[in-house]
Amino acid sequence: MKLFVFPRWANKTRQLAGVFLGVTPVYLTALIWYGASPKTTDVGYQPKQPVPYSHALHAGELGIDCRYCHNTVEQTGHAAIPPTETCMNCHKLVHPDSPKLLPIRESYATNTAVPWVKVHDLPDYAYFNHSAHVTRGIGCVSCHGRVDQMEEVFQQEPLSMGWCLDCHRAPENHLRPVSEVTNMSWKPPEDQATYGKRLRAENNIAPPEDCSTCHR
Amino acid sequence: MSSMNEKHPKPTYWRSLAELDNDPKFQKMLENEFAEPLEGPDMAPGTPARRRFLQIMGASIALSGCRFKEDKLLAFSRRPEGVVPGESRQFATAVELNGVATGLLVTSYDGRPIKVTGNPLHPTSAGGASAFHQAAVLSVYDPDRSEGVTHLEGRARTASTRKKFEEFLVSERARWQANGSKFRVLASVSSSPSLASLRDRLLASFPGAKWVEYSAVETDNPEAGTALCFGKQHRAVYQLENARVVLSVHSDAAGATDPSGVIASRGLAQGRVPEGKPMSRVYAVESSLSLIGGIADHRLSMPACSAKAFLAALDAEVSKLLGEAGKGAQPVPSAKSLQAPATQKFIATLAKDLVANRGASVILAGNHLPAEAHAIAHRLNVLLDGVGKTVTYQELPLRERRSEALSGLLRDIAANAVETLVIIGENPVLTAPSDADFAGALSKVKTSIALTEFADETARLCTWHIPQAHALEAWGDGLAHDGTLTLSQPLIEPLHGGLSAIEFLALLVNDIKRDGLDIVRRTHAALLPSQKAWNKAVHDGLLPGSAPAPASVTLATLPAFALTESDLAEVGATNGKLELVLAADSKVYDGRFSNNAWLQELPEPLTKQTWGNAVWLSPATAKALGIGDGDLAKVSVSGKELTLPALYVPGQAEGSLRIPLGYGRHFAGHVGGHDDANVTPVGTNAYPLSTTATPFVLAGATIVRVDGRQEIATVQDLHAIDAIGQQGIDERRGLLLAETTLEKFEKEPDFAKHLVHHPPLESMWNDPVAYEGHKWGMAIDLNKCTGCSACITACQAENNIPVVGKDSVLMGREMLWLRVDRYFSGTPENPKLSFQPVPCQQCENAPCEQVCPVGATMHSHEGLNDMVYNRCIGTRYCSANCPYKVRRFNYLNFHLDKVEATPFQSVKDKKKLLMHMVFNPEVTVRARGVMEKCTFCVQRIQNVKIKAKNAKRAIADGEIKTACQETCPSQAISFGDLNDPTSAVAKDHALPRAYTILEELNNRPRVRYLARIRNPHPELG
Repeated sequence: MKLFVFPRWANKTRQLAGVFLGVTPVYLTALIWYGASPKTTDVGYQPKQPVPYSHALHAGELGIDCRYCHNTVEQTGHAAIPPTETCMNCHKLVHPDSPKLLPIRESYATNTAVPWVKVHDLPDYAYFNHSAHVTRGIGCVSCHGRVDQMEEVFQQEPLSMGWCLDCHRAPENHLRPVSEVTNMSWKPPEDQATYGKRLRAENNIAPPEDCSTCHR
Repeated sequence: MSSMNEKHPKPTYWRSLAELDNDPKFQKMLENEFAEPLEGPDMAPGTPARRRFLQIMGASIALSGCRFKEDKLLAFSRRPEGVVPGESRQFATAVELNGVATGLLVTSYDGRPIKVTGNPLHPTSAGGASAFHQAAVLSVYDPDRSEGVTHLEGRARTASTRKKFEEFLVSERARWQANGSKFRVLASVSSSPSLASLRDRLLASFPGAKWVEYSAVETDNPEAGTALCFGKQHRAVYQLENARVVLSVHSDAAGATDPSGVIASRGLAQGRVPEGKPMSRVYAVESSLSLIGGIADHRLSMPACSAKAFLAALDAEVSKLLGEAGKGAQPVPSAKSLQAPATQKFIATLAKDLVANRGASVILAGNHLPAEAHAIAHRLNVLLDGVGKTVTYQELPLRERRSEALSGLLRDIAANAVETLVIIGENPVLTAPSDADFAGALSKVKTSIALTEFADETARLCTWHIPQAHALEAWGDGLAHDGTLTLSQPLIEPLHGGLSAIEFLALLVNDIKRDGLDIVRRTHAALLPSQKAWNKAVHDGLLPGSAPAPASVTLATLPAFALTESDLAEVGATNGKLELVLAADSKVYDGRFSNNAWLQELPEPLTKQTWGNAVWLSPATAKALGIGDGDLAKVSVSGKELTLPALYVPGQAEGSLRIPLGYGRHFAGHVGGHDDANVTPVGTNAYPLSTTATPFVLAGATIVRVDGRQEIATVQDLHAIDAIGQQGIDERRGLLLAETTLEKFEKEPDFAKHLVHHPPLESMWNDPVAYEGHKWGMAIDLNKCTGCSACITACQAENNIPVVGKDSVLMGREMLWLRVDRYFSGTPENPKLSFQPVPCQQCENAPCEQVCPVGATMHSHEGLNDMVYNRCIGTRYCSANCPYKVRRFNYLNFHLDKVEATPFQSVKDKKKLLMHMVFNPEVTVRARGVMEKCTFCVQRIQNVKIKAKNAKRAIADGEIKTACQETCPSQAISFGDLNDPTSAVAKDHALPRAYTILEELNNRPRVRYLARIRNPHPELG
């Protein structure tokens, strides 16, 4: 019987295994770190909506204020999706027969909801409150990006905890006058950091960083 | 055992008899803090094993990818006015129990009722609510509720429809209208004016029909007593806040089972303030511990059958002092049971105290006492000049006695004089006395129609079963305990298309108004003529000033009551003459709440038993009869027997047994027990022992031990710590629970602060936080706390606390964030009772925070110990290091297993979805493997903070209320900002009798207790 002899290249196995064992954990860690981070998984998320509603047209071109539709944003936690009624305020007269608006007319006629798909979806254990932010002078654009330029809304920012804390620790980088929160193209009159610091002092803004601020 | 006893002298305060005697079971609890079996499966029966769980989780992640499932945003088509999506709103409504409507405020979140609290405007609630009220929201979403009309054809029960039932009515109604003499209604006791008007319509349109009011656990003896005393029936309305001397004779007036227990607790508590004004003195004479007995300054254990003799003796004594001798309840034979010198002295001193506080004393008699006993109590209230001060009377129309009405119905059925029986909201097959044989009677009735929420013992035997709407699903009305008109509105459309009692009656009589709202409006058209007046009354939940004026009463000479043999019986363990008291349970009432898991898991306030009942007996009686705690015992009375576990209850009168009713149900549901679903009944049904003649107090009972034991899931010994810790507890017991007498308190008001002597307290750590903004704190007044445990259920509802079930409770895995510690002191025969609610103490120098390896429990800038569920890896170090033992660990996926939800799957099953609806969306639903604890209702704090900041205003004191504080019937809890010296909590913290527990550990808790002050009569000591 012929003896089995390991081929010569088998001598390298140990070195290769060493490299493999060293590299794999690093690779896997890096893969998960970046691959599973909200930056990778969530930014750019752009689900297809039942109605091809264009924020670029409505908020951008026509210049409708965010709060015309999302009218609860200053009073409560949710910047509520408007009821179908709000769409029909205009679309009874504007494009009343457009086939694209069929789901809207159906919803209005049958008193059922339009199944909009949620884009900015925080985990259920994070309790975000819109009113607490917009009444302090954090603009819509800071978290949602230039919605007025989006045909179909996508997620611009990672909405991760680290990202939230970046701003809670240094809100001056995003503060603006409360009157300008819905202005997507607002520019600070001077350097944002200096201006933000002034606003912060004026309005006594001290964002809490306690766990229970967001997690209950 | 003896060696342990040598090591630890018997404690002055003891939490349970097991601890007092240091029995082996207690030792086991001590040795195994987390109550985990060291080997073997650590899973609850029927749950997947841990590895299997991990496999499933792994697979779910692999299949679904890294994003959470796609969520839909379903906005209104037309948003109703005033609705803000995601914002909760409160609506006033009411729940009726036994003819008394308690006004409630119900929080509705996106159209779902999720939380109940008392209506501060309502006279019966005054802002407080009992555990029954708190648990009502869970009952709304009970998946076992009937979902449709069913019909018994031949022997088979088939699903039917409302339409078919209405068709059936069309043919039948004509016959009833022609001759209604074979038509009977058996309905719950109700004060609803709409129900009364429909009842009158029904009786008028079905000539000869009869209406039977039925209550399984409440008698109409109090009203019958007024008839004996005043010649006419009256309803007594007590104003306990005006009383300086309160005597409770077998009364549970402060308990949840009393329909006006909430306001009685408030009244009692108002007299228990030792600062500023004179403090009230409470006496209790009772066969079993009650909540009033718990706060009493003097308590006498006495069998229930001696109550009449006791009251007669007291009446004689009081009459003598008032110079009214000879006009009372006489003759007064000297009952042997009253002849003990201590009892004689008690009666004499009590009579003196009552007379000395004429015009400010009140006597409460237990509902189950005979009418004569009530008559004496009413007479004494009049003699002692209490009318108009501590009690008022309102005249009632003369009504047939309830027990006679029921007997009449059963006689008619036996004589084949009943063809149609309509049952509304009651379950007489379960609850009627066994000699009534209601099931047998029902089979003789040709057509029986049950309007009930569940297909219960009665409904499943009736030819028609119509689902009843829950009180929170229907329009209705009722009267408060003082007769104030109360309106209730639905919080949600009936989930299963149920009908309310008034809608059902309107259907029966073919009323032109069929809708609950229309019926109620019609009833009150005269009182609330305009839309504006109606809107205001619905908004407030009541019509202020609608209570009838108090009637003036004149004492009739009481007929000479013969004290029968049973009144004079010498009950005792040794002479073999035992008495048995059957009583409504403080958790499931008459059995109607037995499918409510929150109530089943709520520790009974006095025995701390969860999931079941037992026969209560005093340790002395039990030992004389050779029955051990937890042994199975056979109770026999008048030829009927029942086997159930025995439970030692300190303070139980010698020779007196007590069994809570409402357990052992075979057709309650998946929680309370259901034969068809193979769910073993929880507890034992004691109704079969009851008889029509003596439903609640039975003489001549015997009890013997039988082979076997049954574990009783009591929670008081849980969270005990090891032997060294136990030694520490023994030494500190008197320090945990500071109490003294009023006399000593007045000499040394800050005694509680001097109980502990310790060196200057220095921390190893630097204080991390300066608490410059808010500084949340809580104060709990032990003098006001009755131990009723409504706070526990309120906390459970607010904070999505899971129910763990009996097996897990037995393993020590109960999850309730708030526990109400029960301490006894004195002798087991006649102990003094003290309660101490223990939430998380939110220490400033918190031991839990220092040991968490992953930073899952962190200190907030306002001093809260924040618990971060997502960081928690379940080491449980925090719990081990918590000296107050307030942390709870999720050993299983208690919630998610039940509703079959994972973050990666949607739930399809309709019944499971129904169970989702009760969750409070403001609070995270915790999963397996994480620690949790009281958060001071941080969600409420945050929401109010945001609201105040948005409006650029400061938070007002009292604007933030924790769930426990909000519901507390006796207002024992205050909460607020300690940095604001004018806040109620800061003032309470500054009181001399405020103290913290385990101060010497330098944890600096944010919860302070106000010491318990007893007010004993100097002569009784």
